[in-house]
Amino acid sequence: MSTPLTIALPKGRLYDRVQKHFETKGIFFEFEKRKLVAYDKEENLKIYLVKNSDLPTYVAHGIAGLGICGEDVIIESGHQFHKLLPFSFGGTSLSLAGLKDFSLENLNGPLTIATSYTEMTRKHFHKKGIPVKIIRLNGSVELAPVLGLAPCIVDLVETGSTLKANNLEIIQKLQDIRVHLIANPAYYKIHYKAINNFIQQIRED
Amino acid sequence: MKNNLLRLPQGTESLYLEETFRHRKILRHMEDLTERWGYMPVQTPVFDFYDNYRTLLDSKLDDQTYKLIDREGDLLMLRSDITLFLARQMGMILTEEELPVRVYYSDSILRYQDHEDISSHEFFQTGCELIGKPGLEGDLEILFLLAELLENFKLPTSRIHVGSTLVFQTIAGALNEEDSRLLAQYLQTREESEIRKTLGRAYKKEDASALTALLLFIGTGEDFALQKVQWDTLLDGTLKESLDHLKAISDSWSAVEGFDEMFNIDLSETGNQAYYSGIVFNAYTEGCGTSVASGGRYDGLMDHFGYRGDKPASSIGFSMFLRKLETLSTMKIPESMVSKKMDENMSALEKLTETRK
Repeated sequence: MSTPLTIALPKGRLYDRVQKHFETKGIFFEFEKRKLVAYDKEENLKIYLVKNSDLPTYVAHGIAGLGICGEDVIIESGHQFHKLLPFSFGGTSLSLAGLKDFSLENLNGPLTIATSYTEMTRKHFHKKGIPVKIIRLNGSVELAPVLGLAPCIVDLVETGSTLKANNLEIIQKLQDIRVHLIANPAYYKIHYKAINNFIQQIRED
Repeated sequence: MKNNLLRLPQGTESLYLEETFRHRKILRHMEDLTERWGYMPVQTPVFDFYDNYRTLLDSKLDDQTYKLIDREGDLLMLRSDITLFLARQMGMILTEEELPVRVYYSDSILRYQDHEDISSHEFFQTGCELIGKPGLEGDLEILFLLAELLENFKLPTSRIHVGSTLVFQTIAGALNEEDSRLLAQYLQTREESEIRKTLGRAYKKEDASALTALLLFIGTGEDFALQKVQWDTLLDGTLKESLDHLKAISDSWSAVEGFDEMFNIDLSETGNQAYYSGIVFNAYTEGCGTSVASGGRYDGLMDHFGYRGDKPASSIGFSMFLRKLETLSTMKIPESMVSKKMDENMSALEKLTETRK
């Protein structure tokens, strides 16, 4: 038997989608209760279940050679990976949102934004020449305009229902966020044949 | 005071006891082997005037370089790239009659590289430079020396991926500056559709597809020879000479037993320094998340530092990150004499007798 490829998958909603997609391609696996390492039935893959935001770190250090995660996590990590295959599922968008009466035109100073995505936010607005003051939050950012911490937020928006519930609306979309199969560049260079075969197997029709 | 003793400045690194022993042992091994190939040691300064290098630093290396102001108010930089410091040293002293010159070095460099590893900004590099030997012969000598070293270090599966800056530059030459930068970025991340899209802004659709396949190619010399035929005629044959050169390199390594397994042609390798001008390469080893050695050809660099010979001081070299190799090497390290033989109860006289045996 050849050595299995190592792949990290993120806990949470995306995991379910990846598992379902892999099953349609004949790759079956499940994690025993509380265990975070599993093999697929054929033992071609060794799979690690990790926290979404930690996934790039495991791949960057070569602990897992491959990983599946969104561009938001990749960009925020600051690491560079091979983005070998984009998926149609799990996509979302990074958007600027604020209270209904907020307008970008009425600014008379830097735009204050609360967000968990500080890197992407800074890059986006600096590229556009708009000065920003960024306040980092680790979750529930939609509370920031409601409680008066910042007039607007940058966050991932899937359906927009959380924004609506908090009386917020999208001001502009910053970028689309897609889910990718990523690889540690050095790992890819050593295992490119096996990885290319794996890509052919999991490629969407 | 106690707390300060526990704190370490971010990025510093020390080696301890057996770790140091292992480090030195591998280094000695490297020095012995390269000296047998005719290479002589050199030492570069730990800092130099920033202005001497300013135009040669790309924005990434410039960002990563530590700078300081000396007592006269001049801006200095700490050694962040040995090749640059060595080129200045050699450019000033070498004469045409002395070429070719073979040198090796073992020094630390200091770079701020938090995206790679926040715990270490001090990297120990050892490497070789072959100055004044242009073309295929020079390329092969450096590639084969690196392969020989990696084999001698008894590493897990290792591969040297050889690419060409010239192929990339010829293709990117038709793009505007921003698209050229994007192409390099997408090639680093191997985003096939983005590469094709970027090339499509300067080339016909079918050419953009063929060039994408070429730039993303990784394979053995044999795989490359099969594909190359269809790429020779691309862009009115302007790539053919560079592709022929890569083919000649792969033909040569195929002639050495075991080297077919050690090398790949990889056109996504385009070099990470602005001064590269020919082949470029990276070495990868199973178990290490980044390359363990890298290098390439950089003809013309020495001219920048005052070399004025008629014969070109073309150069090619590589550097290895020794700390990465140490953890992977299965080279047998003999146990320290201190722990076994030199027992604490032994008197100085007994030690002297023992060591003189």
